[in-house]
Amino acid sequence: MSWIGAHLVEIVFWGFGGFAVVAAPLFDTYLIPFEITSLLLLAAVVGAVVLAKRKL
Amino acid sequence: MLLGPALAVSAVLFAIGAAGVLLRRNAIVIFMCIALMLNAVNLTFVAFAQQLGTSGQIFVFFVMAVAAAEAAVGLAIILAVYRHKETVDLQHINLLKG
Repeated sequence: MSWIGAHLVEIVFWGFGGFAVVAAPLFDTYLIPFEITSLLLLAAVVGAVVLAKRKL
Repeated sequence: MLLGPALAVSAVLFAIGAAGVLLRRNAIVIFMCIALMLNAVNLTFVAFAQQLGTSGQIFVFFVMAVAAAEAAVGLAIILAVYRHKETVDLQHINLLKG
């Protein structure tokens, strides 16, 4: 039973699409695009609130 | 592994989305069809990432972020147009026409 659990943990972390496989390049190689995305989302939220305000 | 079926499903989803954008008149339905096309492209990215490396999966996150921003701004625009025209039927929305 514990072997199956360890095997599942290994798949979830290191398998195709696992946490470690996806998160490591996301916060390492693609860190700058990641931060730019946060600015994009902030601008989108501000724009949506301004557009949806009842009194423009 | 599973590349062919994944690409087939992706193509079908994209075709449904494109047909919906071109044929439907409701702004909300067109909006959902745009999201459907974006997710079909995401499926293609993930399917190819199985063979070509993890970069495709990373790019899917950025596509999702841009889709979320687009959804927020687009829904706000639809809301503003609805308050102005009392309809979301794109047949009756011709504000940009002269």
